[in-house]
Amino acid sequence: MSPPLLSVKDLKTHFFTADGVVRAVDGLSFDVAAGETLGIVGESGSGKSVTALSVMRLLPQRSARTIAGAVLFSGMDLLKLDERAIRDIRGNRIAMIFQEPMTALNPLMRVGEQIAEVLRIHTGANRRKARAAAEAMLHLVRIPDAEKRYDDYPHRFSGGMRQRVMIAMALACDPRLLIADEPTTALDVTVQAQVLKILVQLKARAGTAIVLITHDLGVVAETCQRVIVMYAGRKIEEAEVATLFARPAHPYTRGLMAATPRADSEAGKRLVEIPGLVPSLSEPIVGCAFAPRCPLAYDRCRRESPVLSQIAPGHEVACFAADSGP
Amino acid sequence: MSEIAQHRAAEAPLLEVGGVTKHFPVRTGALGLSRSVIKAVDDVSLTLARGETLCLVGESGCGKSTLGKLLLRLIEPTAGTIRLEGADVTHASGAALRAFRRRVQIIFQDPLASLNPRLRASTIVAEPLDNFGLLPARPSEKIAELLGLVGLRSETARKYPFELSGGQRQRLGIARALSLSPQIIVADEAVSALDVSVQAQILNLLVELRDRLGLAYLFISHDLGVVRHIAHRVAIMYLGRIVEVGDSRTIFSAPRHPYTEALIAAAPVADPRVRRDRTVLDGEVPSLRNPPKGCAFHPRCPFAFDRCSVETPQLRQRGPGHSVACHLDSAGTLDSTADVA
Repeated sequence: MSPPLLSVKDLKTHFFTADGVVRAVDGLSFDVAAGETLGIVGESGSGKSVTALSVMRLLPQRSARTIAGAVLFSGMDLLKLDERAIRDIRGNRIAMIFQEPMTALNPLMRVGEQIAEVLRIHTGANRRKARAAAEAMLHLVRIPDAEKRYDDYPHRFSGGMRQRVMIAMALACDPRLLIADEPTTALDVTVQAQVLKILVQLKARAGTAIVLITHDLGVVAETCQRVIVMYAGRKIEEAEVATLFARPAHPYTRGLMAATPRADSEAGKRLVEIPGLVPSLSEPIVGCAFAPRCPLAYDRCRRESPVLSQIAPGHEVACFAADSGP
Repeated sequence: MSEIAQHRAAEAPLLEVGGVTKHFPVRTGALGLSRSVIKAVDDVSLTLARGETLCLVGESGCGKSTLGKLLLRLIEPTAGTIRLEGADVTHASGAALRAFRRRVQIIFQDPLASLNPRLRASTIVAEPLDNFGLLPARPSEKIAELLGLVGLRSETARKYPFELSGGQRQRLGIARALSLSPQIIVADEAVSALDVSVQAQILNLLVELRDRLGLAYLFISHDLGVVRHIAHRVAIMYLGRIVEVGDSRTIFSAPRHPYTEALIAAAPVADPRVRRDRTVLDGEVPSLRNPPKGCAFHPRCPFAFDRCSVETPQLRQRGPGHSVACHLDSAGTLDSTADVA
């Protein structure tokens, strides 16, 4: 087997605040193979976005620190690179798109210029070549009248078009890896379908690997090959998409699926609730972080933190109860 | 349905909206000198029965929130009538409007933005009662009862909104809406800001309260999963107009309007075995400032023909309680049965 494109090993990113240390990501490991789409699922505060920002080294340096772990990309540890070296990789070999395209685009710069700038910086293309390439990218993400729209400012674009511009910018340099943090959450459902379709098509064209961060199990089911489920800064389950949806093993994963109302299910059935709340990450967690909300929790879960173990090929779970069978 | 509920359902609808329209004036042109209007809600007619949940579904800018505000009498309609149990409340003011407010309440999307940060939970819940002079001599019992109704502990009464979690805040917002024992609650994206695990708690609570208190909900949502779960009937809006309305099962299993079909097809399903080859709708919702002529959906509609760009289709009944506004449907292209109208 060839080595993974991205290998995150025992990543720990903590925030140092006036109220104490927040363990946003606490010992996370995962691999992304070249060309694959990996989903990271979790609710608010599970650490999915902080994971992405840690990999990209985009965290606010005053409060957040990655205190342990390694992020190996094509063999290099991104956490050990100096600022110049990481800037060469960011936007070039690893690109990122965010939930809010309006805040990620420069409102005072023409849309096409923002794409051309990426190309000029990373490929050294001259203005004319960069413009031609940027126009081609706008075509690829299906912006109508790309040559004309090149000179528009972001406020003239709708939400869906802005996100497509972000995708064009992110993919301009043919990155090996695209990290997409809730890329369609702010979009209407018909526009979400368009954007996801474009992402999948472009990925197939360039062989880009995608890490898709989302809270939406539907988006995962329709776009990803493998999934990581995060809870309280840790990975609690990982599996192929088909396996995860057919045989979810962690009680939290099962809870999430049962709690999600589906458009294709019968109406009127009571949703399964996950009682209680996500734990505070500023206090040390003893035992399994999910134990206080878990229907299967027993003594051991409250004392010891379960480690990930393989229950089937490619299917890992961190749960004492799932381990010993239902 | 209980006998009482059946008997009641036979009476006049609880809420009846006829041809409600809301135009917002806008200034256009280089100097803002010319005036035009945005038709945010255009000729909408709906009914809501006791204990019924009617979901308003549509994408951003379709007018669903404006319609909600019209029904709450928070904004004045440009045309049309709103009747509550047969009584015209379209232009009710003074005492009549206050009486209306007691019976129709709202739950907002963002509980933090809709709860006064400087008031304790007890004051927030008691304020509507106080406003109507209904606060009992010993309010703490009533407050504890209301908090208990939404699953909050009585200790919560002392807390400020910032001390509560998102789910608890939404419960508090619901308790406030229930304090006046209304018959109708307009819930505008009431669970959209919540995480899935908390959303399930709030949805279950809303269903319990509906069944226990006989509440009618006008439930505004863009999430079809949530809609499928809670709705008795569904109305689909596009650019200010209702394009299809029917009972929830019909809308989800046999939608007739091409937009409804596209909307349902576009919603991702949390099941990788369901690999539908879905037709992705081209384009985006057009601007209300410059809506397309004829059927507003025709530029995106895969079935549009010449009539669609000329004439606006009216809602016509296609089955029991099922109406569709589409020329295709009335022309019989989708429907082999003869035009019943």
